[in-house]
Amino acid sequence: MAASKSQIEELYDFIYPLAVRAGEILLEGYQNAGKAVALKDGEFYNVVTAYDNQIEEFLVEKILARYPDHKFIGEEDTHKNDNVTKELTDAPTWIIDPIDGTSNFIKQIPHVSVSIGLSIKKQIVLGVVNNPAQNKLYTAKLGQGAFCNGKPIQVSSCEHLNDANVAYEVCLLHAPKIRNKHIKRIYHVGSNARRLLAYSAVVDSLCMVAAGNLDAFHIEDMYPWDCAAGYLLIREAGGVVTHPYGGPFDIMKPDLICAGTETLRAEIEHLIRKADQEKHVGGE
Amino acid sequence: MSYRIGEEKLEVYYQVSLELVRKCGPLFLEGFQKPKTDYEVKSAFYDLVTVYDKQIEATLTDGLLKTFPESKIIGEEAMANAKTPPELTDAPTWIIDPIDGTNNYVRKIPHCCISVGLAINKELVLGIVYNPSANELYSAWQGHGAYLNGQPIEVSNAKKINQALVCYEISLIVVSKGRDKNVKRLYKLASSATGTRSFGCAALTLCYIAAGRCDAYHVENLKPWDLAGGAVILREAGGRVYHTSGARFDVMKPDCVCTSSEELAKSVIQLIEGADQISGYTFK
Repeated sequence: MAASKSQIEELYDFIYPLAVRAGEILLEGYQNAGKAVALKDGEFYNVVTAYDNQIEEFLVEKILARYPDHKFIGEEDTHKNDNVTKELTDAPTWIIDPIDGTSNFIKQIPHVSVSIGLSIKKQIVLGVVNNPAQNKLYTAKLGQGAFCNGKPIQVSSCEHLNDANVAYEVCLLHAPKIRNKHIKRIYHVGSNARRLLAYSAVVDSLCMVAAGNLDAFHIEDMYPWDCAAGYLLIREAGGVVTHPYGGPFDIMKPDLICAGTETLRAEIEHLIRKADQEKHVGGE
Repeated sequence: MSYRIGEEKLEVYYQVSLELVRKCGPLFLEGFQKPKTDYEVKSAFYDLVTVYDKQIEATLTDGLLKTFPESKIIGEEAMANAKTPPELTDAPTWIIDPIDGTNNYVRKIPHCCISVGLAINKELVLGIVYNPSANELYSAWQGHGAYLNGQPIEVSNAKKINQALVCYEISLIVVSKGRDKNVKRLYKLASSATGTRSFGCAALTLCYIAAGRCDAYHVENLKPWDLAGGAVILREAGGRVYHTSGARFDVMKPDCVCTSSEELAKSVIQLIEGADQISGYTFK
């Protein structure tokens, strides 16, 4: 049986002020990091890592003090585990990304978030995302709707790609092994979408679909902590989230298409399947 | 005939236009914050306009002509029904986009702005770009540096493409003419850059480079009003604005490469030349 409503409520009341505080830490870094434009490449990484660690440690410490048997899955957590992501068990498990959009964080581009998802018996029951740069705190409890700053949010009703704002992680073109797959998909989706946008912020893009700012988002080759909270927000906002080929969404291998409507999602799935059948890009 | 404009007159142009743009802030926000902002589709399904575009342009045009009756206007909405392309003369000419990023504006995505540029003797000398949704007012006039909310801004020190955050209007893939060109260029640039973004607002993208948030931008097939204001701000912040070929930038045919530095501009231009040589694409 899934978590009880009162259990979810208790955990929500517990994590909410921590998400607020985590957002304050993130905002401090966001405002200060941008001043260090002259930092060398290695130093950028150090600045980001310091805040990433600070936020994750803050959250983990507070959670363990209250719930010593809870588990964690996160980017920094995985890094400390020799880059092996732990298995998801039935135990209450916090799936945390302390800073999503690290390259935006360093540049003061306002697509940056603390993302906190909670899984119980392998089901996501809580999603809290704080984007302090835009003063937006998104929250969702399983079965109880999605909110931004306390106000209900709802996905868009857009059903046709010609009318749709779609986000895509174009940065993935930087990775040679998956470059051809993504350029073909970008070609086919972009050829039909009213707007194709790229923010390099998976969490914020998911939230923007939940809030109806975007109509759809497709992402692959990312991690559980990028998608756990955003997934629940979209579902609770009335949207659909599936595997890119239409099957069930799997948080531990979170390749997805999400959209305000099933009709729009299906159209994107069709184009992705078509792209994947195409020959490789020529040249080079 | 050539207009001789002194420094004092230029400062008057700056102060008056700055105040007019600032006064449009509340009207801009009224439309941005509305739960649902109505829009019309212009020449193509991806080209939108709202009543706010028209009202803001009318406010700016009336105010500027009242104070500077000798000047001319090239505005997006005034040009919307024009049968011939706008012509730039030596007269002081205000080049206005009342809302750059209208698609973002109607969806409450905070990358949209009022953009005003001034050309005299066909040279851009003044630029103001105001994003009330993020409380950011960028401004510059020739020889006096660039500012964000009154504070000086400067481009980043990125000189190599592998250090650069590149921006590209991926949405242009939707236009069948030029689609292959855009896909190849995106592929080449995103493969080489450290990150790629697509914000859907040209004027702001130029300002983000001016502020050191992003490092490079390439776009073609836009209009003078998309680039005029931002180009002055970027130059005054120490950045470079070229035609895509590496030739001198022409605001009336504003295909461009915009970067934080000379070295980076050369790299981007070389990558674009390389992209244009790619054959073997089979997308049709």
